[in-house]
Amino acid sequence: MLGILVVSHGNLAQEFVDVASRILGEMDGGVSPVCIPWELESSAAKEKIRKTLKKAQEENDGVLILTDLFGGTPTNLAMTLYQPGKVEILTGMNLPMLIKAILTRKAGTPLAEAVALLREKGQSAIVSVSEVMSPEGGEEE
Amino acid sequence: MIRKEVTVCNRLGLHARAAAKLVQIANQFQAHVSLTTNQMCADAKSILGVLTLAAAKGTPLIIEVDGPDEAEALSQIEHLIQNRFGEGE
Repeated sequence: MLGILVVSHGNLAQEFVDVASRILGEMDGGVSPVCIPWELESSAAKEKIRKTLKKAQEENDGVLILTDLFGGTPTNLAMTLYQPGKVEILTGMNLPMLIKAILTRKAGTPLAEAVALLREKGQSAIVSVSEVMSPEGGEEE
Repeated sequence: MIRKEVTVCNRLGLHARAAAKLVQIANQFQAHVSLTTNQMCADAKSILGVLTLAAAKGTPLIIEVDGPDEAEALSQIEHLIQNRFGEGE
């Protein structure tokens, strides 16, 4: 099964996971938030991610790390733990992407396939309301 | 294939938790289930799809079900919507 780490600045990761679990129901433990407090020194922050990742790797076939912002410290630290085909990283996460990630985990989708799918879903879930509300808008997803 | 039109009648409309309940029920059945508003159509087994309908209170929704267990699927989904997703208002 796919393990999921959600890594972010501040408490965002915990909030993302909490909101997703309110929508989808109880989590099975395969989704782990890793919050990086602003004041945390980077080596301690990396260790925090590494420990959670190690546990996720022991319990799963592959691990997907979702991070909040490309170029930010949480992403930069996660990138040092990247292992092609074993630990993949998607940045710029959004709630639809996390929800889809959890469903993908439940469906048993392999890591490489999940990365491509979630990248696409995360982007297609960004909607300009003006396009939906216009008479020409509203095509099927 | 059977179809029925219902109206979303809960105050918050087809919001995230309501959509999750609907998708959970739809996934219990073999039949293909789709939901159509006057603007778009979505697979009722996909939460992100159902949420894109953005169906507010008062929105007419056509439930279309196709498969061996279609009657029971339609009945349960219709009941959920008419029961305001168990939200009481």
